[in-house]
Amino acid sequence: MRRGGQDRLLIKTRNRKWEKVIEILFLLSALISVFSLTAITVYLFAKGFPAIWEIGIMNFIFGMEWNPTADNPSYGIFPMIYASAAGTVGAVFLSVPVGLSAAVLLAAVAPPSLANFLRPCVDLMSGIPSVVYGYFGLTVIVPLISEYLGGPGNSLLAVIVLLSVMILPTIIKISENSLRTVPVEIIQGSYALGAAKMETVLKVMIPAAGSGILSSIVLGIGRAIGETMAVILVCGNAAQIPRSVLDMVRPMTANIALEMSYADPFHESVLFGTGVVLFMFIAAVNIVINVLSGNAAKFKDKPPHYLL
Amino acid sequence: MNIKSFKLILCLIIIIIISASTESYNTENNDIKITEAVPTPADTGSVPLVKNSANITIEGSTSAAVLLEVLAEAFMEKNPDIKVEIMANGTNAAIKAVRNSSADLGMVSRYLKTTEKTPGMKEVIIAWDVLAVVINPENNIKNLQKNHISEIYSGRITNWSIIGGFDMPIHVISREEGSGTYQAFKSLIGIEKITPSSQVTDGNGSMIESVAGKINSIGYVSMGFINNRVKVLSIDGIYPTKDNILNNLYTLKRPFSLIYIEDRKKNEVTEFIAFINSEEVRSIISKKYIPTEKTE
Repeated sequence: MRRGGQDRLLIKTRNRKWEKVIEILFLLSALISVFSLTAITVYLFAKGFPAIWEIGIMNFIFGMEWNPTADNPSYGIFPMIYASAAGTVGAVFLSVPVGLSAAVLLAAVAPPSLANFLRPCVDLMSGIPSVVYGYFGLTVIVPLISEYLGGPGNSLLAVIVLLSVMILPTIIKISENSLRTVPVEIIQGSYALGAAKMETVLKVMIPAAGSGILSSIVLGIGRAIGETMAVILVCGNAAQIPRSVLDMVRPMTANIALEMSYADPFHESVLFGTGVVLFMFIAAVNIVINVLSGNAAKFKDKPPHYLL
Repeated sequence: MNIKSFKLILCLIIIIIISASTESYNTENNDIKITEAVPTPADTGSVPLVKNSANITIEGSTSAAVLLEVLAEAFMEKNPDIKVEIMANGTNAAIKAVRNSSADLGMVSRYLKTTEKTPGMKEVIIAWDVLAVVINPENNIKNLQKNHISEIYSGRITNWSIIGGFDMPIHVISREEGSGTYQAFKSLIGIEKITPSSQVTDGNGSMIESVAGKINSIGYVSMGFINNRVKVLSIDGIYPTKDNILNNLYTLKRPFSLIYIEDRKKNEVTEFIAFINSEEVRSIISKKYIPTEKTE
């Protein structure tokens, strides 16, 4: 807005009114997202916090037992926090190497004909509804795990595998875009110094695209931790700390979705409390990665040290 | 637009949201307004207008809703001017809805706790539902003692070989907290807490799917959902046949009942309950469930 000051001098006063109107329209549109965020946050905290307070924050977050309808109820959600964290971390570990390699292939290695075939495939993958992923997991991944690795099949491993597939398109798309925006001068400089193609990709392009790759990971984490429908079908929903990846788990999202329909008012409030924890979790992840990617962006402006 | 005015607008919006959310929070706890909308018995008798817009709203147990939907259809065929609406949202919701009059009738699929009853609340048992303990058809077990079921579900027996089956771990499958089936099962087998390492499914249908999919699993479902993909166990040697259930030999049964507040009962509701007690309806009920004894 301010940068355009020079050009604005040329516009007649009559038009400025319209400029203002349109500016306000844009601002209002932007405010709608702020508005919904605030509304959801306020609602979530208003519904969830009284229950957390009554149970005690420590008992709620670090409690090991979830038994909300017993005569002597206990409301500990630590097993679910653990399950959400483990599922997400596992999915990111599986998905990032694969997704990043695929992004490199699409951005720098594949001939256009292959890339033009693969790209729509990735787009299509992100369009599949999560319940379909879940059903696929239930009928294909779960029996496979049960048969070859033992256990019930509904397990943390099934969650990890399914989530890693689900976040692949996010990671591939955004990483590919950021790899494409690496300035061509840097790449040419690398070649000029005698670097081979793969050397350039690994040592120049990926570091230069660091912040974009990091933000693809954040978005992946966001999708994985918030995923509900697909996870409910494959996780087994047992509210316990898993002793191995073959044990059943219940992530926070599954807990909310599973019990909300039957919950009495206090139980419902506790479920909103679970939502509060989930919300804080996502906010924390976002802040951490924002700080990290801020560092990466600074790095991006400087030429990589081995080029000096 | 400078930053200051932007901040001002943002603050304003937040204030509006907060006040709006607290307002809606208050009306939720305010029963008086809602009660006014419901005609008192005196109104229903004298004002014909109410009769024309006659509606019965029923909320509650998902298990009982399967039966009630059939009954409501039969009722509406006979009384085309009365419309019955059914919403399946769980037993707990039924109690809440009847209390604050957002439903005329509540469907309940377990015995009410004394704390849940309010003065004037009436409970009419319309049918008995039977809970069947089911296993995978490939499992060789045919009968279980009731205390073995309790021990399996509280996590003390973890291998089928202990109770005469194959040497494989028992995969315990249960239902989500708060479902009527879950609560009825828990109290019928007499345990306080089901083992946390049990799989949790979110409905009778997915329970059948899960049991059919794993050879070492055990689960429980409402009798109305049984099909040949699972094997029904006898308990203490007693198989859930109609005779055994009526003679109280098979003990895993629970009532399906309708609850309402006597003072707010509409004429249509009285008609509906009379219809449910009729001989014709008992034959509909007995297709899948056990009708109550005719000693009203």
